[in-house]
Amino acid sequence: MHKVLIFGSGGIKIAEAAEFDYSTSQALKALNEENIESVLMNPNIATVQIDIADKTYLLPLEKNFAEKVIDIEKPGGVLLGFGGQSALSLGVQLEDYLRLNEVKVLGTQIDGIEKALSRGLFKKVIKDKGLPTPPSFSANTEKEALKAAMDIGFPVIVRISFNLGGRGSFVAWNKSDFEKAIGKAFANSEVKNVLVEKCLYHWKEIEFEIIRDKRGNSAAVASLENIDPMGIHTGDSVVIAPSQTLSDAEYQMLRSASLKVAEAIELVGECNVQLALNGEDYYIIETNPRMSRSSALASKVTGYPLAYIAAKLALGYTLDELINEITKKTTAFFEPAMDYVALKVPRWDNEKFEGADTTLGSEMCSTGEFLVMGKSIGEVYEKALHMISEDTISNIGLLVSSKEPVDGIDPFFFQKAEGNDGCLKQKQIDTLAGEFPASTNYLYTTKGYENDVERDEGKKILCIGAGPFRIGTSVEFDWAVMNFAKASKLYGYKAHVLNCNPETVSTDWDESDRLYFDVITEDRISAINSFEGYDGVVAFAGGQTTNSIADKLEKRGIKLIGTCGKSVDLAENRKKFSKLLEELGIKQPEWVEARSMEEVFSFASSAGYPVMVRPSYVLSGSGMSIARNEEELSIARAKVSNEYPAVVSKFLNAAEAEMDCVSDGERVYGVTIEHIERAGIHSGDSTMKIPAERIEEKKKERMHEIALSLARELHIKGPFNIQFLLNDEVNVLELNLRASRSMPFSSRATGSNLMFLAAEAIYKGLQGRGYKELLPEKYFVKSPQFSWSQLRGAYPCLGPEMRSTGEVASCGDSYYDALLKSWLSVKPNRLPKTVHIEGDIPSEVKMNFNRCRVVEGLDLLVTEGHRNDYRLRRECADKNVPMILSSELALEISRAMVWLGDRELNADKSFIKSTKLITLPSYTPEHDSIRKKSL
Amino acid sequence: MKLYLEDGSCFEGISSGADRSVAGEVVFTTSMVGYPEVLTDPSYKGQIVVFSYPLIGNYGLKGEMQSDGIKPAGVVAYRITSPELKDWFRRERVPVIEGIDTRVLVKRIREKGVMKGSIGERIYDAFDYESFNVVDSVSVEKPKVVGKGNRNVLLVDLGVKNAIIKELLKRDLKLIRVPWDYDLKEAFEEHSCKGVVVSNGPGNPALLKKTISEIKKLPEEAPALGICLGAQLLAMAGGAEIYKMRYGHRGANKPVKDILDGKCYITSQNHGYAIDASTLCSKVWMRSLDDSSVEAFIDENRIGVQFHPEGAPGPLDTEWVFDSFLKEAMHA
Repeated sequence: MHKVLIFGSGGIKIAEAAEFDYSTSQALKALNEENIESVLMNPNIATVQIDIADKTYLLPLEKNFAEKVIDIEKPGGVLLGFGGQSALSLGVQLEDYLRLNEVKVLGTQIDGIEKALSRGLFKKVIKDKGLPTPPSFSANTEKEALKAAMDIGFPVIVRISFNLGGRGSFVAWNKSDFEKAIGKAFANSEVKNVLVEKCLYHWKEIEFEIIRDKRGNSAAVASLENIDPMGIHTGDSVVIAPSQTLSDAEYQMLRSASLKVAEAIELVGECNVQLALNGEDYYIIETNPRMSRSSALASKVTGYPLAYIAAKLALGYTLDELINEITKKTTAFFEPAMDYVALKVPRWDNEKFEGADTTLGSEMCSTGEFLVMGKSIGEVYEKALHMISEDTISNIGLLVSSKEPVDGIDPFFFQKAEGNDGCLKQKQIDTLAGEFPASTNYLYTTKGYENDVERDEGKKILCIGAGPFRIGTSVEFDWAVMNFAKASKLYGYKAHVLNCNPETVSTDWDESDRLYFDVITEDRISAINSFEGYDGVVAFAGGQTTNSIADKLEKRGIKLIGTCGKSVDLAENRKKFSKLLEELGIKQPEWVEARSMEEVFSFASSAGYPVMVRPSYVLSGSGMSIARNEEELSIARAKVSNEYPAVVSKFLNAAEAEMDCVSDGERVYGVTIEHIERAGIHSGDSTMKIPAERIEEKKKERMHEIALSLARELHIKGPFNIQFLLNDEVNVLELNLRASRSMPFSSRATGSNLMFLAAEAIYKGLQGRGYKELLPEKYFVKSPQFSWSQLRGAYPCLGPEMRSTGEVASCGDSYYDALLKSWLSVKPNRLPKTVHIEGDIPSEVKMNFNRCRVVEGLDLLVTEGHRNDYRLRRECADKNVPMILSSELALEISRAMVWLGDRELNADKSFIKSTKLITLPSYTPEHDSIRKKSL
Repeated sequence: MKLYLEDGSCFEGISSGADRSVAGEVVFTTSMVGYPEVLTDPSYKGQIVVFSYPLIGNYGLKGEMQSDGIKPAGVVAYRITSPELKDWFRRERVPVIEGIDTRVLVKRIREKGVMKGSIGERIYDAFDYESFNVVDSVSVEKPKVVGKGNRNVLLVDLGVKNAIIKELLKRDLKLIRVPWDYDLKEAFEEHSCKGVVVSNGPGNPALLKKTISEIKKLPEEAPALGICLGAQLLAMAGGAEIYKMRYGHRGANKPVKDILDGKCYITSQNHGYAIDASTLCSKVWMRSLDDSSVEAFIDENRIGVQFHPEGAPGPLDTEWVFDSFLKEAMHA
């Protein structure tokens, strides 16, 4: 095997998130070790995996594009089990093409995958093994489904074949519930098939993570107990490992059954088996014959590198041939023993969405999660409480405060939080509970007598991770953390990482010199800093939340790497920042800090409508709104009070642009990015384009001048991002003294890793003088990925608050080529045959679509703003109909479709090559990053 | 309350069991599930068991008791989470310490090997595990017939776990359960036994000279299955030597490999002595993937397994060993 193709999971959406960046990255590492050339297909530009692959195709994860990539690359084998359900489904669709082209499916074969994924087939296979499954019927029509429900008796759960995060599945307590939801269920099944099943309300929900090799050797790497019972999606459940309330007989019964499930689908690699338990009765619920959210969790919980091992098994190794990377002495064939407990807590962002249903059910709706470790239930609860902000819904509060047990939750879990007495020790996570010597750098803190490790000697820094992902803070910041850590090593620093998000690459223990898997609080950072004595702590890589404690850390006497905390505070503080802009002669939209609604109204009437209202210290535009008149202003959601003043600014109907930059306080390297959508739409929800050739040269020069003067004034050391409004003048909207969401995109587009440049700027100083623009060799476009379908009831719309959950990008020889491929990489987008246009959309859009012979119908909804069309938009979301929610994007897409005509989009130019910078002994940016080549 | 170790170290915790002092060999188990099974396993007789898993007692007394009561001399844990369990310890007069950083203790035992220890007072020299016949106190007092199966099997009880009895009875056998020092040949012939099972048990196998000589007297063609201590005695009867391991294998996650066909299994284990492969007359069948020690041997009519195919606690992936014994050795 010389070359292997691997599919990623595309843009981050609810239920298919960064856990697949972890699993694909580990699989790629395994390929690298075997000297196999790796070709990755994944449009998710923000992922770390792209750095590890030899070549990455930024293309839609669709059959036709995959076939093109296979034609070009002619791989010997393909890995399907690492990019989530998207990769697996794509593999199943490609079955014939793979066979025809003699591309070997590595790991579990498609036959086995189908057995696991098709509900009906799975049930049969499981029954043949003598294992119990809940009473259920497969149905191909709504009528059949209803009959099945009536036969089984309510409550029933409806599950969908080939589904993702339980999308479209639901629990019905009666006939009317059932009839309401069954339509959406069918709409979400790619094969129009559902399974109606007995609802195991309040049964215990247990998961096992199973590995199995081609020889049939198998082991249960972890057991996970859902504290929330059956009925609540495991992604939305508080989960604990190992199982806490199962007796040995119960545990072994479920473990043995799980191993038999793996055998039934002839697993080669890793699978997750979900079971329900009630006394002596149990049922097999389902299996995922691939790496999953739970398997990522299990890897972090135990230290067992499941995805890496699964990839090696797919390449033909047996478990006893592989070594346990932690002990280096024992083999990979064993079941980890833990001497701690690990608690996973989900995080929701539903409050951001108008109309969103916040009740928990069989469909996953959390956007992220964190994991804490400790030696008792009380200790992990205490740690979890530190990571939960007051506004997040969480069962942890219920578990620690409820006076009496709640139905469906084992009484054991109702325990008080338990503070620690301050004598924290650093303990290793070593897979074997201390039984064998381990030189592992995987650590957490807990009470105890002594540390497992000594202070790490030499120059070293601590990179603070992004914590649980949420809208606005996602995998792009994990990329930043990882890359800055790696870059620091080139300057002689050991890089330690602190993070508590199990879905990330940064929480892989082989990525950093030391990994502290712990809560991200000022106290914990202080404690770890006192133990290790860092040369500096990096707060700018982990995004807004992490960066916002920079000033506080500095005040505690902790040395920060990069821009000083005082400057960060100045940029974040609206008033101080505005004053600075004035002093520097930089234009900004007119604004006022209002402490009462009267002040808000008086500003609006003097400055003129529309106005934008936002609270201070915002993350991803939380609480921001635009008011076009007095009426809209009075219902503006921002709470305005003396204690919580709001910033009200003149809303300029202008183009938006931004710059991703790096500075050493004297020089600036930057990437100028054009936005497709105009002002009023959060930059995270905007379509971005590099090069920014449609911005006038004069304005660009002014932008660069501003970047330089701000960098010098604030002594910026490291990465920063500036948001601009472009009307007749260049206005500055905001300045972020940290890594930005778009930096993986701008880095990959220009071939200059901005985190490596940041390290250069901080540790050594940049080359050259003044401002340097970094330019790409091709056109790059980035598009936002939304999760409308998963956000039950939410109204799909765009505005100053960020609503997308992820992003994708593509590249090509022309702008339209890159735009179309990027837009098509967003799920569920596809080229429309029919289109329905609503609202204030330019007439050119309709004309363009007509030229492409697209007629009226609901293959694509084009609309804009906030309209009285909840039902229409919601129906599109529920039925996976693509939507374009801004008139600017509609115009660009319609023009691109005219450009495309009868041509086919090709794959030839849509790849980027890995720079694998980490392997270069002495990296200098001049060598491969500063390309002055003009387009 | 304190735990004293023979290396001079002392760990202080809270008493959660009987308020009395006890001495024993200090060992650790990494099992995360199945504390009732561990606590009632006669193979822990004479030992102070340290649980590396921090929470013991989460599901009360739900479990399959392996004997008539708690067998370890003492127990050390980070946290005993069930009042029921604490009551049980007190009723059975077993001293228990909680609140200990057990990871530190496990690492010490890992480095220095198992050692003498005591809970309560510093009396660890009061008891020498290696030279004391602990089997005598857990073996059945006089012969007993168990079950109503079709074929008779002689069960040499060195402190047999109930799970082994259950596995044998499942297979339509009648068990002639005899004490460790019984005349095995006579019993075998008297009951027209079709096979012999030598059970698990505690302590130093070298002290069981009587059992070894009784095994030697058994007809050569008598099919035999030895489990754990039983396997060691079968091997010793054939001339093999055993050695004391530094800290043994105790846990439910132990990997073994069938070196004849290459297949690997996760097993439950609880032993502090091992068979020296170079002195073994039988064919080595399985080895530990952790340290290559002998995990099973096989002859035409004799099978010895160092691990516990009956689990309890632990996986049942090697339960088929009982079937093999019936089929291959007993030709049943």
